[in-house]
Amino acid sequence: MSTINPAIPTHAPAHEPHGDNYLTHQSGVLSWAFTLDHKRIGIMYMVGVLAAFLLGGTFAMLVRTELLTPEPTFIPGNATANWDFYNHMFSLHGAVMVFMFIIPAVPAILGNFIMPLMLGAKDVAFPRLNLLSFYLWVIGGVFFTYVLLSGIMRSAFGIEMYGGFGLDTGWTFYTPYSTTTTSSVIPATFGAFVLGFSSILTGVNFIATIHTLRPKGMTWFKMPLFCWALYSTSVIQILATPVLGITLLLLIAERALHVGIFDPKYGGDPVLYQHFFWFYSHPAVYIMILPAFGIISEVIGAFSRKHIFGYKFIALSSLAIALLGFLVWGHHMFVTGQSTIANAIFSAITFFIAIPSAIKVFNWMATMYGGSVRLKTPMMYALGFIGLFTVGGLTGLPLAAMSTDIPLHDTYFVVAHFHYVMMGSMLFGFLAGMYYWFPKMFGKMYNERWGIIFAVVIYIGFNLAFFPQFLAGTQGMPRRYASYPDGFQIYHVLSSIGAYIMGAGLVGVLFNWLAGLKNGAIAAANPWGANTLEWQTTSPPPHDNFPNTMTADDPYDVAQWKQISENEWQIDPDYRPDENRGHH
Amino acid sequence: MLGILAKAAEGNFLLPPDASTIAGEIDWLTWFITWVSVIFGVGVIVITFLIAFRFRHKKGVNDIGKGPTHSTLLEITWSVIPGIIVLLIAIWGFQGYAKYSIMPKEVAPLEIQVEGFKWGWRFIYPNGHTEPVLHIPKDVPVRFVMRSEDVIHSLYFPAFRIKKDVVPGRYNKMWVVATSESPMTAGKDWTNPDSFVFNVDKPETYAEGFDIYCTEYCGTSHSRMLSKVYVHPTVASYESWLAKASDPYRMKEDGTYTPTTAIGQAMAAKNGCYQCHSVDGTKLIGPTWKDLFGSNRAFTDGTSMIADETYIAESINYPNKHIVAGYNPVMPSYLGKMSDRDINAIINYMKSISSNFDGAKTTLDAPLPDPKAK
Repeated sequence: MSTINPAIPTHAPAHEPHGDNYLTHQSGVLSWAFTLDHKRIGIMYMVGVLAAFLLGGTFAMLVRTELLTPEPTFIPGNATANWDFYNHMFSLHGAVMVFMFIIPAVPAILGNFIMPLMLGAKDVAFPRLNLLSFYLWVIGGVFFTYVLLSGIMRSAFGIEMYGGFGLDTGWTFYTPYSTTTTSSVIPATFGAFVLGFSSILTGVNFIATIHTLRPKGMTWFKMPLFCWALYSTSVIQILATPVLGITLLLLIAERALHVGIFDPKYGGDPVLYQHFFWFYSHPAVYIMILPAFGIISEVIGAFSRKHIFGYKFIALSSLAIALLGFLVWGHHMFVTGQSTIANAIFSAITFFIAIPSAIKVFNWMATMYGGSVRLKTPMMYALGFIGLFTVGGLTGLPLAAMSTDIPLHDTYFVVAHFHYVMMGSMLFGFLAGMYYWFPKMFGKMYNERWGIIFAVVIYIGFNLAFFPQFLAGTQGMPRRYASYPDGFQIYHVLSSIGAYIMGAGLVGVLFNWLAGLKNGAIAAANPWGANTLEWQTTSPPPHDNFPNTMTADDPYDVAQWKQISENEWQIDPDYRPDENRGHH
Repeated sequence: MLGILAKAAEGNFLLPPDASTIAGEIDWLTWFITWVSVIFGVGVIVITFLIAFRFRHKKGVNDIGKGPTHSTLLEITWSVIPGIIVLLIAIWGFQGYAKYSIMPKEVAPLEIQVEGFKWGWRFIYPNGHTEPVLHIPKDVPVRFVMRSEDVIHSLYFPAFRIKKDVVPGRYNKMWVVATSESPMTAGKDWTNPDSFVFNVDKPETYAEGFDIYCTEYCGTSHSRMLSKVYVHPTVASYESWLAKASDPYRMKEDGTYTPTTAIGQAMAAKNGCYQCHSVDGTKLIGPTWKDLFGSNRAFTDGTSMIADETYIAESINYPNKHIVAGYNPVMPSYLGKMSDRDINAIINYMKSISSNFDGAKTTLDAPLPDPKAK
């Protein structure tokens, strides 16, 4: 676009028709497929990643339904076929959720859409690379779809597809099980390999963007905390993901060519695989949670109407977590026979990571202290996040302590712990961000009342689903069990009921968004009265993001917020543009 | 819910029974961390909600927040206090782990070999006797020398608070001193091998003994890779049990012998055959044994054969030579693990449950001669 937009008032009246925006700038399928606009790429990621989340969630529902009773549920007449079905379901659930939803969700959707806007930039540093990242994600998704299809074809129609059928290795692909099973390990690992490249290129792009495209006045310590979180995440993506790529290629080589690196039958060491895998996959845990930290920092600041507390400590704790995260992978292997001294070092560094995590939580609480707290939907999710992340973090303590980890390792305690962190915290952060930037992304408001109701439903459902799993775990219930001794049934029934409630709540969120897109009130440029640069342009933003070159100052400066708060009628849940026309 | 409340009333809703010398140390730290977590967790959540309520937005009163935005003193405080707590937990965790990994040297341990396979456990006693369940005496150090035949498994005793991965290609070791005997129905004879009835497919037999789980995912029947550890009250009880259990062909105290078909049935259980073969016609990983003997077997290579004694023996020793159509070549070889007499006992048992066997079933229970006695 060559013409310059007319100057856009920061607080456009809600009923004023919007001019050109990124959604209407061009039309047609090709204008999306070949777009270099970070906003459109973010929206395409959103559609794909949410579809993957729906798929992974469906697998989760099947898993929880199987576990309602110790007996076979789906194929009652054939126990082993039933257990195989369960094993495929939990493996696909984990693989789809981790590689296609949790890792890309916040950076690829919200990072892509919001981060350049936060910097007052026109786009990311390498727009073409950004589109390539998206298509690599799609190709990775095609491989996962192939895996799923091969399982369906074989079990429903008896047709064998190349490479095996389904996936029954768990998302961790532990050798030598993964090198000997008949499921589609090669297509699945190759899919994860391609998805890894998508992640690496996004990381490269974000680091270049943050280094080169910050506006005048935005020094490192005047950068919004969401950008700090994405920067830390990108460092991990670049340094750790290649190790996963190499590991998965070695796994494919072991399976296809028997090179003898992981499989003891050919002279390999299966524990070496675990070292390689966790060297990536533990830092990957921080790829999943750090961007959510960034969102929570933005949301709590904006909805407390107060300068974020301890800015530098929050910013640097993200970096500290990113760097320390590389040195703790061995805590996944305390009972493999790994040396006691190695275990002691891994355990000590793991505990050290607890401190920057605790710092963040305390700073968020201190931000609210003395603030003017508005309990809008994004803030409800942020409060939920603090609760879930606290539980998830504290239950990491007995897993990091070497002696208490011995009985808890590979039980439901671990399952509950990482769902509180990776699922509860990350998802609540993601939903907080989606609600927070929904008006910016689409220029419409969602329904506030239903937004809060579904947030509460999901919070209750989540805790009912996963808290009983802590108790099952301390009692000894092992993970990845299709059937179990009768004594554990009560925990599983509670957990499944919670999962159904949470699933219903998430469907509600989707409907709330769709209804908002269709009938929502027109959003103001800055409905929340926040001070970061993305709120300084119209909602939705024009193709070029900003009409003028932006300058920045302290992103959490309180002085500018007062006048905006008078526009609060714009986020009244009952407001409809038609009914209120001329209301002002 | 009632189950959880009932357990809470007994005071052990968090942990299973403890029955080893290191359980107490691990449980103590678990409870310490639990209480630290409850205090911090409830504290953070309650204070967060109190702050959100106390400082909630009121129109015209506090449109803009006016609280503090930084305090180096606070940052240091809330870094150092959790830092000290986690440092203590780390040290205590290390001390407990050192006990788990370093075996006490005062007494020579009883050494039991453990083999994990898809999908079962094989516990090999010092005299070479093999059982799918574990028997150990109380108050005596026992060392497990563990290996896997195929993929990674993990041997987990919740009551002892110990587990270790069973990794193919290496021997992992683990030790325990059990401190209390396992649950056993009153009046049962600890020395009588027939007292122990655990069967993975019969949950009603789960009550006796402490649980053993496989905790490393290993495929189809991972969740059925269960076993039991029976902790004998005395060493004498354990040794007496082992002597009797080692000899299924023994003359009993009343002068009778165990029927050979029953020996075959037990021999198959001992070797984990029923993990994959049913005897009632149900299709599991491998073909059912019901009506198998004497039937015509169609193989994946297109050939077929009548299932006679030679075929059965071959299938035990060289299981992948002939694969019945519709099944996968997943059975491990038992070559050298079963004597000819054991295999004959199993064949007799298979004859007794086959309508395709044309001989007289009444003779199948006659005692088999001991080949060494000749």
